[in-house]
Amino acid sequence: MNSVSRKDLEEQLHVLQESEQRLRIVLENLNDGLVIADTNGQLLHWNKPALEMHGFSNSEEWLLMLPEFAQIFELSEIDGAVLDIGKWPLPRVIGGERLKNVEVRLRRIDSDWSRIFKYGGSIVNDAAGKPVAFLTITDITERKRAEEELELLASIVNSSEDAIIGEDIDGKVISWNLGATRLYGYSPEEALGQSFWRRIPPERVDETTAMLEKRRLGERIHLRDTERLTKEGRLVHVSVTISPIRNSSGLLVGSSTIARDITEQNRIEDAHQRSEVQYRRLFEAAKDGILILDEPAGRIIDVNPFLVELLGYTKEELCGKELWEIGVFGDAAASKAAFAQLKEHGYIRYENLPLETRDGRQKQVEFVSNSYLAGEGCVIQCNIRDITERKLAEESMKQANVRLERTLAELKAKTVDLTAMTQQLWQTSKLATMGELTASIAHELNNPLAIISLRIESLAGGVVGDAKKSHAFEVIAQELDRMGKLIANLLQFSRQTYHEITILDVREEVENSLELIEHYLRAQNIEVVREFAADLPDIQADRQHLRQVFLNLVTNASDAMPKGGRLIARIHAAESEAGVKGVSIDLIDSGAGITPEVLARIWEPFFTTKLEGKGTGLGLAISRRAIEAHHGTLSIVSSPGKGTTVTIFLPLTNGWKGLVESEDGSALKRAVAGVAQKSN
Amino acid sequence: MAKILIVDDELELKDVLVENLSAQSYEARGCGSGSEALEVLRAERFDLLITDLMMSEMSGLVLIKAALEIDPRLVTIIMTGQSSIQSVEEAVSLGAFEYVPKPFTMRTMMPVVTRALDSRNSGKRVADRAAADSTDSLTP
Repeated sequence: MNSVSRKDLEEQLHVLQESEQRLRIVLENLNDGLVIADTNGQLLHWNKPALEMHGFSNSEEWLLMLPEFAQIFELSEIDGAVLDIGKWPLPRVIGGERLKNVEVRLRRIDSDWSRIFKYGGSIVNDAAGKPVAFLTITDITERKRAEEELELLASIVNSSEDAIIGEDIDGKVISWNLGATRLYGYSPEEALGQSFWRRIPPERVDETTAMLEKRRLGERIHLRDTERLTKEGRLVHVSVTISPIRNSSGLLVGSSTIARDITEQNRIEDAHQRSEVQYRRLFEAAKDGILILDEPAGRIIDVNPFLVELLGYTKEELCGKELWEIGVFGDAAASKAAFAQLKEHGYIRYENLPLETRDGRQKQVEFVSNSYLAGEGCVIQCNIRDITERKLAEESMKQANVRLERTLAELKAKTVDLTAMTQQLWQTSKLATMGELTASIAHELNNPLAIISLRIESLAGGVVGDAKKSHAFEVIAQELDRMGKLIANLLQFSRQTYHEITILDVREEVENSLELIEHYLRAQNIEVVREFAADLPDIQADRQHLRQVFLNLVTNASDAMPKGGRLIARIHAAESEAGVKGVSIDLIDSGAGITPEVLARIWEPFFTTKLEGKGTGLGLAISRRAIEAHHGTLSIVSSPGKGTTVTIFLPLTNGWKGLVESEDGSALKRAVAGVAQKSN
Repeated sequence: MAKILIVDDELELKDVLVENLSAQSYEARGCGSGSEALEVLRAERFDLLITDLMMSEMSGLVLIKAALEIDPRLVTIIMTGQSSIQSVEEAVSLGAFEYVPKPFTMRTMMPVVTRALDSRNSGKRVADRAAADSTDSLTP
């Protein structure tokens, strides 16, 4: 060793120093980080990249922070499981483990800083033969991120519903996603390397050739609707987008094809179009007017032919206008208010809206309006139905109904009248029958009465001188006479009478009538007061008729006094308004009187206030007719609660000029007059 | 002695009249029906016929008409229980002399009978008076 010269030694040292220098330069300029430690964990060296990778600017900072390294950093596996310090790379190397490609996520606690490092390392002996641990660190953060992005992209591509196919410049498949498998039926294995021509149906060859030319020129191609063949040979409708793929130097290396199955979309579009056509036809052919307005402005967008015809404006005149501008709805302000209401509620309805057409005709319409969403905006549809005819028909129907109801009411009233009249007629006929019966009974009674009278007369002749017996027979004779008179009266009232003018004293006839029912009046607690003028001219009249009239009127008066009262029979000479001389007969009762309503109807035949079956409703009518036949008047004045006054005026003469004044006033003359009148 | 024929289907009335007129010294005879009376009239001459107007078998008017055909000089008096102007008129127009409404007494009947027999003797009819009297007698 002594033989080794100092110069050699110095030379060797120099070489060694240079080598160490180079090595240091190499270490410091490595891309990867390098950390060296002794087997006790004492860090011996960090190269510059290692410091930088950990965010340290220089070794001083590192020295400062090193004791707290474990407090500053957190290491975890890529999937996120935090590592104990014992599992950190350096301790593992010191523990004798040889590390290769260990990926660890490094995070500075309390900051966003995070990197992914790849570690390698082992124990080596240094020049002095002492074992040291060295650790290489590669920052793979960016690469990892790129890988993840790529993975994400791949998964996006793969999960896409669309077929995404990569092809090289020759049209051979280089990538094939799940969507492509779904669409065409080929698995990626089957598809890779396959020519795209396999998917082109014969009838699309020309189209494809043209497309290839474009692709060659690097153009982007979009076919909205074309056809492709599946693995099973089925045709599918697809939309296809082909984009060129260029490498980093811009050279065309292939193309990406995105194909979408549009069979369903086509079907929907077809259906939509069909529906559109159907609704358009409905719109065009509707027998209602239809108006489409846009929502915010209320401008007319569309109008159907029926409405055009209804309003008399052309479609062009209507479209683009605001609803109230056309003036068919009259009041613009009201129309605007209605429109506002429609916007608020989305619905408006008028049962009966007046509308004026362009030529000024008035129409009644039913107006229904809805607003609804159509695409992005709201539209308003107004349905306008012409109900003019219907309204007219309804109106005439209503009128017809009213008429019908009126007729029905009249009919009902008539039915009631008829029922009443039937009853009255029945009553009348019953009375007529009663009259006949009375006549017949009176006749039958007269025979026995005659027999009795004659027998009594004979017997009375046999007791002359016997005052007592004579008186008895006299009484019997008187009573027989009374019976005879009664029967004669009954006969007169009951039988069919003829118009038979005689000369008579009204007082006698009134008296006669009163006598006939005086018994009845007494029973009714009615006092009869006779106020007969002492001097009274005879008149020409029909005795039977007058008696009938008086009897009727007295009966009425007594009916008006069910609780009794007073009946004044006043007879006096009088003069009519026209100056005709005659006799007035007033019958004044103290009864209930007649209300104006009843008074108004009192002369109607068959009108009666008496209980059903009691009155015929004919009495007054017959009486008036009888008096008028005598050229007289019958009038009634009544105040309810006070009583009624019936006044009869009869003229002295009645069309017959002969024998007005009978010289001796005998009954004979009167009777002759009556017969003469008849035979004339 | 004047002969009087009384006709009434009311037999009791006919009988009492026959009785009473006989008591007044007339030769009175009664019949219950018109046909019976006509038979009697054909067989015998009578001065006066007193007949009811309404009889069930033959009415008084028919009887009078037939009786006058048998004996135009026969005087007739009509009795009736149902007095009416037209029956008076008809009876008078047929030639009845008088008209007596039922009921009546002999006091009423006798003057009529006397007058009728007188008229037969004088040959004169007083139709008007007869009608007038009988009408008046309706309402004595």
